Amino acid sequence: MKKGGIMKNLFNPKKFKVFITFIFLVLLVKGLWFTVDLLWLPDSTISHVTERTIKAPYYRVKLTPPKVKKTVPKKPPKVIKKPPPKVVKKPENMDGVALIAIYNASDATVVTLAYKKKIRVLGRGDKVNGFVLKSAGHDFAMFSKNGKSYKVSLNKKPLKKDLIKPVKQNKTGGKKPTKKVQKPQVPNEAIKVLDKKIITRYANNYNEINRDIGVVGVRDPARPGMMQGFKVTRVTRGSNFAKFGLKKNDIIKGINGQPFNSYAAAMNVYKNMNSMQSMTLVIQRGGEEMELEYEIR
Amino acid sequence: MQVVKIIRNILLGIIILWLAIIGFMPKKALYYKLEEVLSAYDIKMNEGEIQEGFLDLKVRDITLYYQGINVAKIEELHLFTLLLYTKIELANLELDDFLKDKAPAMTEKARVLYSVEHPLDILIDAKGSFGVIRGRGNLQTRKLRIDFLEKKETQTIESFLKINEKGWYYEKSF
Repeated sequence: MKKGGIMKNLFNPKKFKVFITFIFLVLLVKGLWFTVDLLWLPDSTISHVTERTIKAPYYRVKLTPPKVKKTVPKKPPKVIKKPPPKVVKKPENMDGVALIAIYNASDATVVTLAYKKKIRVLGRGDKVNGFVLKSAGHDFAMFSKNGKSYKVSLNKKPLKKDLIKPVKQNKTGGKKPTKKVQKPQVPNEAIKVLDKKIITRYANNYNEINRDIGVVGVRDPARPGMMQGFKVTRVTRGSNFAKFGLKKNDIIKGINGQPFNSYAAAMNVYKNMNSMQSMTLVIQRGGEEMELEYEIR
Repeated sequence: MQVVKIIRNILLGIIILWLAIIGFMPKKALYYKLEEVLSAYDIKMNEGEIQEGFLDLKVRDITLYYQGINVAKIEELHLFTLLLYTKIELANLELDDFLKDKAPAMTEKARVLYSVEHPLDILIDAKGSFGVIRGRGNLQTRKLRIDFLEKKETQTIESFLKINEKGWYYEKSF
């Protein structure tokens, strides 16, 4: 090429026109993609927020029948130092609410209550008799109503040993624990004892669960995307699930204070089955909610 | 001579246009769009790193969730396109423990290929704990057939497989 050939080519009107056309094409494509990106494409990822796998321990305390306390507690009421909400320790209008169990993690707070002879499982923000669950501590739950805060302590009465009966004894007509109060909502007052080996086997073999029980998720119409629990569609006769006391059409609503409001919640329970020492199933049977309790040994 | 110049310019224009389309393609945003579409089916992907190249996109350390349940982990997903030739490669797809008795646990490599050479076919091949497979999905007949060239741990999926004189295969309409 002659000296000054590049400059000569660049300023050659025909070649310059071709060069400008190509540049225009490139810019056009860039502009089109930019428009598509701006108008139709998302600019951030959609991620699944993983639940914490480390959970606070689950406390299971014997259910105390709700008693209306007529006497004023001797101890002075505990007042939380935070100024805005006035803290009243269990005032008269929270009587009848017995705190049975607490599940407390950074991402979820779930408490189990006995109220009006019914077992209620509440999450943060849920109401019982107008009292909204705000938070929970190691052995208490905080509620609020009309701008005031209320503290309900966990009943820590130990389990009575005579209430613990193995499954076989119940089936063969072993001595039934004497029931002073007829409570149709909680028919299995006695705690069944489950062999740890059964739990381990189920935890390690998902197919065996499928073989012994069939469940299907029940959508919650009030909360889109959430579930009420899992409906039992079949229980194989003679299987461990039949021995556990589960029946067809039961809706399993939660376990150990963890509500079954999603498949992920159920899977989380399944993955932590091996570490369970006790198990409390909240089920709905024929319109009534009840608890099935088990000791795992 | 003039005609040759015109043809040369047209070809050059097509190549520049084609490279610009691929090069300026917002691959990361298109991947996010794919995530958005999948999330409508309760499928979510959490990724560790997204690397956008001129012709490709690499996504590393993907955790796959279905209905909030961790179902699999993928070490690397590689998407490569020349528009007329598109390839998706997966490396080390490992199913979660609870699925290991339902399907083969490990896929070392998997490749899905679309090329204008076979405009009606999508080609698949993979290698893993199940053995070695090669398949073809026909877009016209809407049929997928996967042949097992080498069969290993397939007890969990054997009920879905068929056998003929050539060996084991899987067939499904889509």
